[in-house]
Amino acid sequence: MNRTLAGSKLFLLAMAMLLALSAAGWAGGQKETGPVTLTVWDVYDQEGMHKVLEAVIAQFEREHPNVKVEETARNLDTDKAATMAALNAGAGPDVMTVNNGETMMGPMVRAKYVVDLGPYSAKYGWEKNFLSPSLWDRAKYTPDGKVFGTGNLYGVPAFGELVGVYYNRDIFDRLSLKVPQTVPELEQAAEKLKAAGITPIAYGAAEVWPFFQIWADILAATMADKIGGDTTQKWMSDVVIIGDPKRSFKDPGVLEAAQTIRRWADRDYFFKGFTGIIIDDAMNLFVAGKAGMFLQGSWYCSAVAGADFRAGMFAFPPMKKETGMVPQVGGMNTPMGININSKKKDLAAEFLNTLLSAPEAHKLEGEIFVLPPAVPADLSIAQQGTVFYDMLVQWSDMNAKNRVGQYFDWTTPTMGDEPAGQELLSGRISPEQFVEKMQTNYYSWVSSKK
Amino acid sequence: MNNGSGTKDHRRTYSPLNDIGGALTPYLYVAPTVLVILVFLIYPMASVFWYSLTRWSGLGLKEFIGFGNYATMLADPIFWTSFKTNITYVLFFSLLPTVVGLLLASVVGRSRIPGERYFRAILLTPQVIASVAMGVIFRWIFSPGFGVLDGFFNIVGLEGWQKPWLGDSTLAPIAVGTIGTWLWLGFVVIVFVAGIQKIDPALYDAGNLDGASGWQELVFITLPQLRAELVVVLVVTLIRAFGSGVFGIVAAVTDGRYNTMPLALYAYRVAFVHNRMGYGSAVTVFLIVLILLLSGLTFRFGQRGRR
Repeated sequence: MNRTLAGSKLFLLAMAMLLALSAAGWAGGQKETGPVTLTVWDVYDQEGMHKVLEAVIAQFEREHPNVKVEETARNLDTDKAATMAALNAGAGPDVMTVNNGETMMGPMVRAKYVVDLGPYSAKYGWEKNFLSPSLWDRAKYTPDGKVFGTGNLYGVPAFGELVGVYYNRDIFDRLSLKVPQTVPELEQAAEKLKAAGITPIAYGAAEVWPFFQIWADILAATMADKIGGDTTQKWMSDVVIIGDPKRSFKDPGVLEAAQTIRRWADRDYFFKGFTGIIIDDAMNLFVAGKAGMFLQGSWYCSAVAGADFRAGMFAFPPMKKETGMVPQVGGMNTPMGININSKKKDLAAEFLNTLLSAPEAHKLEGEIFVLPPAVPADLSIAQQGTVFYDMLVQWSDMNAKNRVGQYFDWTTPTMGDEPAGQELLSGRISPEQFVEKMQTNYYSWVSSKK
Repeated sequence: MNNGSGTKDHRRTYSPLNDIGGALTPYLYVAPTVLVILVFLIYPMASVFWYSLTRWSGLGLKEFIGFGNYATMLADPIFWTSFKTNITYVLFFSLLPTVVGLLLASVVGRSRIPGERYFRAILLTPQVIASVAMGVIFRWIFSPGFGVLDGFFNIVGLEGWQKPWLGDSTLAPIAVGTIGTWLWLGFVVIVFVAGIQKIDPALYDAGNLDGASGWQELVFITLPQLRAELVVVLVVTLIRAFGSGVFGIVAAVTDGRYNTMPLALYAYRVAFVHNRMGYGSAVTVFLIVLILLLSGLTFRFGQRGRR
């Protein structure tokens, strides 16, 4: 028995040594000889966007023959957790996702983990040549990380984003419907669709974020009707980006927007049982021809373009034609920034430049129907009369007229979980109570920040 | 130790390697397990407790604030709503399967059923499905657009019963609860049937002689004999109702919307989405203590009455 004892002790000793050696080997093996590696952690796990990223990487590697790009795509939540853990350990990728506002950018800036991209933007002309000034503000923070929407630039997007009204051209033609130019016209179209047995607007309220998109477009129309488009644009960025405590959800137009969307729900403009439908399923139902319109984002464009019917998109209309274009929900796709721990910051900045400007990637956008960050959009990558063409036109318009709206779930850290919208639509609370809840959520955040 | 050779000092006849450790030998053998427990259990738990005493976004520096997070927690209405929702889940994941499972087991447990093995496999099938997959499947089942449930009501002419199951604050927690009942009922039945089959038939014969009814048999003979099984079933289902099982299911089926948010998911959101790692840790510590308490009480209950 003692021989076995000795044998097993030897075994234990050997295992311990093996473990120690492999740990040392793993640690030591990290240093490379030869080509330089640039690590990129992104959230383009969707096939279409990832294809564009691959084209960007291919061009970058062509232009930098001694550089190899090591890229990892994950979904937003997983990428955030991985990035946070890595940053706390003093490690992480060279190029990382820096999602706008308090989701990631604010905490990262305050912890001093991101590089100020201002000098690179000046060198490469990013702010001059891409997007519009109000859009760039959404990737800025003051250096102390206390104020969002101004100060240093910390992120650069690969794609643009917008929310518009997709519509089924075939159904519209069949019912002799014209593209609505005002909200009353939109409601008339909805009534005609309903009478023909077709669900007017594809929408599902099982999740919180789609509510803020459809409601924000309605809000833009009702508010601009009272105070004009420019002031509405300012109100929205004051609330969502700056967090100005002088602004309030009790300001004119907000209650009307809540009443309007509630009216749409009560009039059955949405699917039966829509409170239990997720937005992906609402999209699938629209693509299957079960609804006339679909008020959602550019990220669904390739799905809609793949439908059996001719699709189109129009901007959400104002209450009255004279008001002109109202703010349309939109912005930039999840921006990328540079890790303060990176030893190749200049190289990382060159990668970001390629991300913004790569022509091969740009051409691909026309095949995958992803919005480019460039404005005005290059219409030659799309065919007239298609939904992607309509989307590019709306994108250019929004930027040119300074009407890029806001994602209201950015307003406070808990707004993405705020159930008031779902409670409003399912009839649990009144529009007045909705306004009250939104203001409570807003005010408790903005007053605690100062 | 008797090795038959008659020598008293064993050490001289064996390898010098035997000298390694000596009196420490037993500790060397448990060392790997202890190490794993320390690294993967004790250290994380201690860390979470430490984080719960700080204000921390998850990045950068932590600010020590004592028990401030716990005060916030007690004053947080969403915390209390989640707690209440979790109690609903305890009802559906733990208590309901236990009671129904016991009744079912008492009916079928005493006799030998043909094809018992296959029934066992079928009853345990829900256990092998990943909780996220389960959540997605049930989201489809409950979907108003093309769900199986509403579709069924349509076919049998009960259109009035069609509801947005997951889109209503009263119905959604119940709908999610039924997923838990479906998940655990089979497991509970199997554990209780195994327990019943261990019971000495002589006890039931004695009961028959005394004229005991079926109900009296269940309460006075079956139930006391199933104390150990009851403890197992309660502890396992209680932990799942608060922890890992319910988290995966809810995250996939409703993401906590319409009043379905359990505490574990709330802790995750607060920590990783709202960037309040300190507060999220406090909720987590509360959960850990609660589960330990409930498990401990259940075990104590199991010990009582043991002769």
